[in-house]
Amino acid sequence: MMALMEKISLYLSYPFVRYALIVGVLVALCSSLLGVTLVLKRFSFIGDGLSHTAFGAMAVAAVLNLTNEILFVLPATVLCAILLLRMGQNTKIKGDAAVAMLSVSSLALGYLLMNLFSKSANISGDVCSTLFGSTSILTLSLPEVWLCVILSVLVVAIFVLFYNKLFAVTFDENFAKATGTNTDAYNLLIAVVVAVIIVLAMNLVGSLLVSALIIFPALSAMRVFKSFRGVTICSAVVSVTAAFFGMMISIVAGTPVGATIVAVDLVVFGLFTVAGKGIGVKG
Amino acid sequence: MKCKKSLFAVLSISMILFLYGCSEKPNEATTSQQPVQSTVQAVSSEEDSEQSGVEDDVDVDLTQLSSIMCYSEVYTMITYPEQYIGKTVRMKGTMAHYSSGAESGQNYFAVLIADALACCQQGIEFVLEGGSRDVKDYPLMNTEVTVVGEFATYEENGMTYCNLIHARVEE
Repeated sequence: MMALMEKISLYLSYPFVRYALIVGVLVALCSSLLGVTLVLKRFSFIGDGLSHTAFGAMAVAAVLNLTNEILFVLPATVLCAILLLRMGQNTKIKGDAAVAMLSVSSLALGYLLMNLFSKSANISGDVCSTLFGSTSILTLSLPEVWLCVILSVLVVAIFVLFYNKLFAVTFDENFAKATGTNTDAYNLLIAVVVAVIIVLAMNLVGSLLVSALIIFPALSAMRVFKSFRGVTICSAVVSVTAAFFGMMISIVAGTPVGATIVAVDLVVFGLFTVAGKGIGVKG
Repeated sequence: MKCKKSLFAVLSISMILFLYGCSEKPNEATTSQQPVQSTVQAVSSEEDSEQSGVEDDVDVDLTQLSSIMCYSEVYTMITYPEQYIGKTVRMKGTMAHYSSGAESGQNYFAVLIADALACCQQGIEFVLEGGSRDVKDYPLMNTEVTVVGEFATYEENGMTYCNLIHARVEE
């Protein structure tokens, strides 16, 4: 036990480990806040769809040799988020079908482009790293950490400031519209924030596992709590705790970061399901 | 109040997009150099050396780290090589051999380290004490080796490369 504590203490002395923990916890917090809204709006899989869109956009940016690919990836992801969340209701291809179509198309085209045009010597490594996160969370620079901190503060501020409106739009959009709430604007706001969180979270768990960060904490919290506020607070606590312990286990045991965090989320979900049944909350 | 909230939302979104545009790549020269220095200090602490039986002359002992930590540390070494120049490094990994392919047939030898997913590998080239580049003087390819050497950089065809010089292979 002492050896383990000494090992953790040694690893925590590495700046890149501290950066990873800070960014991981912040991304987990932001994703869990929006996760509750997305799960309740039946958009659980939007994280998956948008992260694959981001993967496709990254491939295009790599092919175009863009030095700062995020300038292309973020607007592309935001655009797709808007298309899915805001206009999805008025199109012929709706909800889950639209997300699934966008998801697989982006993934396939992104991989195809990388194979056909990429100048990288290690295509499989690049693809694998983007899909599963690999060690990218452990290779962050200080400016990137500050960027993440500022963005996370903005996301939390937006959520707190618009909490009541998001609550209204989440539970009954038609009623909110009838009472004078500009639901289109709030859906647009949710879409933009979700896209930002997904692009941030891709560093942490990779594009294939982003959905887990969004849905697991919310679903776990819903096993035990029934009010929107209770679920939101519990979801945030669960998400931050799971991300922290997932990263620590990963770093000490040498396992992939993203997969380990998701595994911890899964265990927490199991525990909350049992606890929910124990206290008689109907799922 | 509604107007203020809308203004805040617009400003927030603008700031998010602006900040992302300002994001810097880790390999850019403007990145803070302080963190890497403390990494070196952390690895070379006397206490760790005593616990693991590592000799005092090793500044960065990668053999003491978990696979994911080792991969990340090698990434840091390659990204910010200036902070490691002159440090003695011990690393364990798979032996690899590359040839320049030119008529002169320059040989390059490296220790490769895989990441946790085993889909990516990073390596650091090394040159044995005496400067030999003869294949016969080096361990067999694809075998696991532990190498100790002094971290250095060199220029070739306008590119900067990292390597371990005065290296020795440990049993």
